[in-house]
Amino acid sequence: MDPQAAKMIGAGLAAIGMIGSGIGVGNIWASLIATVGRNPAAKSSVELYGWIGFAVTEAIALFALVVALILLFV
Amino acid sequence: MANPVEQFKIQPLVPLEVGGVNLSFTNSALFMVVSIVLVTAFLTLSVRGRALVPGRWQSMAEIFYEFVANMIRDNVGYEGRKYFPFIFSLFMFVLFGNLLGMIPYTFTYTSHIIVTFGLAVVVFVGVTIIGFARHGVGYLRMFFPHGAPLATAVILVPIELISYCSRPFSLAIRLFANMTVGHIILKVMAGFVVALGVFGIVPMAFLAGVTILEFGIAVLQAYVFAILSCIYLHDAIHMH
Amino acid sequence: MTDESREPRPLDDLDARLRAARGQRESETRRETAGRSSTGMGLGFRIATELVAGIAVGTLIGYALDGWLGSRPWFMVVFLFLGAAAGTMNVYRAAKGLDDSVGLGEAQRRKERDRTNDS
Repeated sequence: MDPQAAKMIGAGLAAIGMIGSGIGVGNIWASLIATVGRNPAAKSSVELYGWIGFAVTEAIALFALVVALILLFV
Repeated sequence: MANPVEQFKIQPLVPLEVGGVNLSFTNSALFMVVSIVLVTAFLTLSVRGRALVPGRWQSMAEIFYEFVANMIRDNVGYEGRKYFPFIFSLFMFVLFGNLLGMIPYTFTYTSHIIVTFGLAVVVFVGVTIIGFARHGVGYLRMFFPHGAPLATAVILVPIELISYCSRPFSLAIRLFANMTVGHIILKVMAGFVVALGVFGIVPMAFLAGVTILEFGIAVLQAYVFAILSCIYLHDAIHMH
Repeated sequence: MTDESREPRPLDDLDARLRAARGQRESETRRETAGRSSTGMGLGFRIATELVAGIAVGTLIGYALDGWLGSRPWFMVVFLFLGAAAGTMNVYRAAKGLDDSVGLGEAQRRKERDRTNDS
């Protein structure tokens, strides 16, 4: 196979990893909204954990992005 | 059904090439000229009477003026007065570009990222120059939050630097994406109306709603563009 | 036309009256803009663009540095993560209504100040 084509296919496969991160981010905000909806007083204390969870989950997507970009450009 | 992105195609009207650079007068340039002429005509003709009690047209011009003046006073403060002409021109240019695009068969120049990015870069470079002119090297302190431990500078400074550099991008992408997406939705919906025949009445009703929404977005995005420029200006002048 | 009080007041007085009326309105408008709450759709759109812009700018800077220093791909990887951090921080600021001020600590303090002034 042409190595260039293999690179592109590999980058595409690497990007699949973002599915998990998408589910995770959706899950975090869904739970956060549900929590705040049930107990609005907890908003300030829960919000911080929400942002931390969001950042950590988003980082997983970035690993996939890094792999895809490295495959494409290096 | 016509291609929904066909409306964004740039066509040269007067082909012109200077030193290997394509400087053709395109339909995009034509509508920029049209909007500038319209703004100038609107503002000069409406206040020509200089009536103490404004008539209809003069009131409209004064509303725009007061709106931008209030925006600058609230967000930048007294020092922002100097920059009123710039913010006002920017606001009117984007507003008329957005609104002109809502007229059928016209071209929306704000739906091209290079146009919005050009405007955003002018704001960005101008604000940076103002910041350095007012504060000198001290402006660099902006990239390190007050009160953070010195050891964290290694991480925080690059982050703040990237955050600062991402301003023109987010400014440009926001305006461009809003206008492009809105116009594509309108076109696709209009295609459904034609394609569905009698049942086209359903997307037709939807289309009417979306058109009203688009007018709202056209004004709102011009406002957002101007107000974010004001906020950046405030940061450069006051450094918080 | 003998009734003096019916006569419209002279114009040199107008400026002072206008200023007084404006000062009255000032406090109201200021509060409105301080608690500037964008519409949900606008905020959502803004958050999406902030995150993407942060990552894109970080990656671009890293890519340019790599091209300059010939150290592919390390700068790109590092700056991608820094860009993501910047993007997340901008999203956090947008969501908390702290606007785009660089320097989070100061922006938070300003917000606190606004809140205490308002109440």
